Amino acid sequence: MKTAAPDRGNRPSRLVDPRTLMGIRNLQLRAKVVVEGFWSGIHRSPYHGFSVEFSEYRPFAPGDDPRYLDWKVLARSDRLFIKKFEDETNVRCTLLIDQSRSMSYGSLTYTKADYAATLAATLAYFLHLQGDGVGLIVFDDQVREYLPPRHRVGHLKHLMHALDRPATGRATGLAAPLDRAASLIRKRSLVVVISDFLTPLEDLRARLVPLCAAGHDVIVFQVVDPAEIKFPFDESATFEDLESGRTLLLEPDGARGGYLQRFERHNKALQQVCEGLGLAFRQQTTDQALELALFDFVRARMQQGRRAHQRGVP
Amino acid sequence: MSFLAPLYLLGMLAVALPVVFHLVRRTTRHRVPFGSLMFLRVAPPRLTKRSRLEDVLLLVLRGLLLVLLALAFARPFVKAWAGGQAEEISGKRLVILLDTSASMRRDAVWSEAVRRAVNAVEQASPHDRVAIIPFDRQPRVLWRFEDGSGLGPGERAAAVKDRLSTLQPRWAETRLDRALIMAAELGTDEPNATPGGVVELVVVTDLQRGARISGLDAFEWPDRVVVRFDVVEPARPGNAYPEAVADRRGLSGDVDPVVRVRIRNGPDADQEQFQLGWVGSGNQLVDPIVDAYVPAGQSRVVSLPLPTEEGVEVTRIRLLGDAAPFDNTLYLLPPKPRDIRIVYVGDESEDDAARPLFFLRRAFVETPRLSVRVDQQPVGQAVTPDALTGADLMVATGRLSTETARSLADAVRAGGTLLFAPNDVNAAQALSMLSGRVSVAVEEADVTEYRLLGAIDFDHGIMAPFAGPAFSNFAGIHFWRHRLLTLGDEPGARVIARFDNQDPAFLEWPVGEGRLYVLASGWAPADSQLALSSKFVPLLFSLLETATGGLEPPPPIRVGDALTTPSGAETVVERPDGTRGSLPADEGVYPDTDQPGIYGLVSAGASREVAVNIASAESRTEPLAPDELAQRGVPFVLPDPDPEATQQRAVEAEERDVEARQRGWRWLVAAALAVAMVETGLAGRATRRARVPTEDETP
Repeated sequence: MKTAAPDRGNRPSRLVDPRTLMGIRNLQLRAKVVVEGFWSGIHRSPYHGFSVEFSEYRPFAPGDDPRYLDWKVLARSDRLFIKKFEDETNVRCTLLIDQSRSMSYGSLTYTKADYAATLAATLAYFLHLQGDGVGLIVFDDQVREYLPPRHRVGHLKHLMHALDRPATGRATGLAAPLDRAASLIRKRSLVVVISDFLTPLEDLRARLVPLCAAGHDVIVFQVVDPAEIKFPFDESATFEDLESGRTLLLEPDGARGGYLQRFERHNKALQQVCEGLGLAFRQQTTDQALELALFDFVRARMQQGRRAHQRGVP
Repeated sequence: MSFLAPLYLLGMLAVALPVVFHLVRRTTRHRVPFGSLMFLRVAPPRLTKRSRLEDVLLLVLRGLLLVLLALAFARPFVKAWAGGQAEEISGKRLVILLDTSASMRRDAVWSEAVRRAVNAVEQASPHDRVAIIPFDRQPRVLWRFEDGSGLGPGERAAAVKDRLSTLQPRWAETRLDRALIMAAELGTDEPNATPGGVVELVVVTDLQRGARISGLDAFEWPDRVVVRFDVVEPARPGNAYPEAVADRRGLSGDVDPVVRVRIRNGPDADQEQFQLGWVGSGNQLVDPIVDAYVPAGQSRVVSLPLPTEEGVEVTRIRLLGDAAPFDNTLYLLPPKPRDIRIVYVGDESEDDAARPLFFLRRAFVETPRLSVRVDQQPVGQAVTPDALTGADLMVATGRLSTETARSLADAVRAGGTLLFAPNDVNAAQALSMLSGRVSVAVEEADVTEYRLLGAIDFDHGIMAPFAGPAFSNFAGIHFWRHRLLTLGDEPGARVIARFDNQDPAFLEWPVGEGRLYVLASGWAPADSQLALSSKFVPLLFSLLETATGGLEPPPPIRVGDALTTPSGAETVVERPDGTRGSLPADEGVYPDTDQPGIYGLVSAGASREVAVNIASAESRTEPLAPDELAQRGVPFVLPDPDPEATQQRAVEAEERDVEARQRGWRWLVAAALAVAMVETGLAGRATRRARVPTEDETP
């Protein structure tokens, strides 16, 4: 289930503006700000010794006890959620992050790659605080770097360094990295794929099936730039593909309609692939607050955990 | 306004480019990196009805910049501002010189020359003033500048053609120098011409080597005069012609009299075999006909015997086998020797070898040109003045009576020449009377052995022939006896030679109109070896030449030379073409020898014939090298193979000159620079405004 992006006009004032966030140079600090911002939405202060692990976090259903309503989220996003706590659990999570050249596009002051790295760092930081092991696979058309999930001293810093390295990726190709990930991730894990998915989707389903069949919980984050969503250009220009270098001289007014159509169709197809496999899918534009992504991540986790419980999977 | 390079105006079409660029929103310069083009399809920029012109002022400035640059490159100029230059281009004075000399009679040369002369008039611009000067020995004006006034170009050409149709080539030689000088002066002195205008002389001629150009050496060519030669060449080059060398007819004792003729063949001739013969009554050659082989560039002397046929008039010799027959007839008259009369006053027998008359008679041998008669006048009889009338030279050696001396003195005073060689002191006493001077003392010199001639005045006309080193040695002549002449103060007396003791040996005295020559020693063997020396005969001939004014035959008469006629009586001239002319009694000169042939002059019952031939220089028809004209400062130009192109180039050169003075392109470039600066400023502002919309600005 895809979580709708919050309306910008009604964005809660305590969400950190991504432009401001990206101004923080240190990636771990950036992730910490997001996580703390997220926690401040859940608790008043996460540093006052309360255990913040919770096991359940789901939409409010008629009959639920309103005492467990997350009032902060209700105030920010008008959504009703129940939060419950749970004992600490050990989760292995592997973050697959796309560092191909298409990710180096950005119409804002930062690129999709910067945003994706911050998202991955945020998730890693969050899970680390949870006591979960976090691993990393950096890929473009091939796996470029692999850090197995760990929860050791220094591993988070190692992760941050890997995420902070400049992207030197080439073209986007999901097939080989997903195959490789399937072979690398042996134990049942949480797999988070962060990419713009600007690549043909013919083999995506086939590549995701092994991951699902292996019992991994897969969450897909599609990171897109607002300009890729809206195609706001109005001057004739020569558009250059960052991955292939191909150029195209075109009149935006004449190209916009077709572009939006095809882009929407692509995203729908992607969503259908994910939903068809029961994967959590979220489209995140780079101008959206990362707390919301973390929020949706956590929710997706809860949903996955509930389904597993229903299936009798420990 | 005109343009030197109008093609550059096509650059103005480039004004359309900024318009196009504006309408397509300058797309090619703007590059937008994008994540992926997989969702984009080709959508090239289009001009739609909604396309709008942005930055109209920028567009106008860019278009204006292109227009100014195109105009500047096109090099504009305004002829009307050139100030009268246009009139100077076309207002030239054209003088056409047409060669009418004898060499223009060669095959088709004359007709081609007339055609070219008419063509030159037709090619002249309406503003040109035209004159035509035919020339040969003398130039004359056939068409004056003002004759074309009021006539259109076509009318002028037709009128000139009419006038030229009356011309024919003549027989005279080519005096190209006189013609060029006259034409240059005519062109520059023309009163109605534009000051500073060009004078162009077009010379239609065969430009032969025989043309006289020496007169150009001292000629100062006026400014702005150019000469163009339009050379007409015959179909066949080369020319051979005959020249008289020696006419040995009439020489007594010759068994076979012949006429020696030199045949000259031009260096560019292609004929080498010729025939020479006398022209008979049927205008054909009569026997004997002599064959002659003369290679090109050489000459041969051929001996032509007199005709065997009786009654053939032996006044015309003709050469056959030559491509140019205009000069192949040679007119000549049988030579008549000149009669010279010498009066010798003396009693001795002409056979007395010891006396002067013996040697005098034998010194003068009859030649075809000279017949010397020595008339002896005895001393015993008084020599009357009548006896001395007509004497070319008087000679006296012995004692003279008073009357004889007086007669001789009178004859000398009247212009005669007397050679007095007294053979003794007594005979020498007549010297005072003969000379009219009383201060001359004569005595017999005391000669020991002999005297030699010492100092000789070779500057004197009589001794001049002996001036050469081969002839100046008189030391072999011994003088046994001589009279000693003491001159005293004798003004006018000139000592021609002295003995080795400085005594005068040979003297000259001007007496009245004539001259008295005195030899201090006689030439008889008793006095000296003079008569026996090789110097005696030439000395006497030299004296005779001085006395008669020259023994050489008169130079041949050429076409155009004047004939002297006896004055005091009307002269009838019979011309070679059968017509007759007459000269009044006081004229004395007949100038109209305008054709070759035999002229007859009849005056006071006496007649003589004169042979007139074409000047031999006119027969030298090989081309004259242009360098020779250039060396004499002739400002000539080579024939223009394409006059229209030349005219066009002249116009273009003048236009370039006008444009170079006006330099309109500088102002245009300056304006273009100003426009470029304004455009740069405005374009910079426009560029700063134009950028990719930010997130806040995206609708």
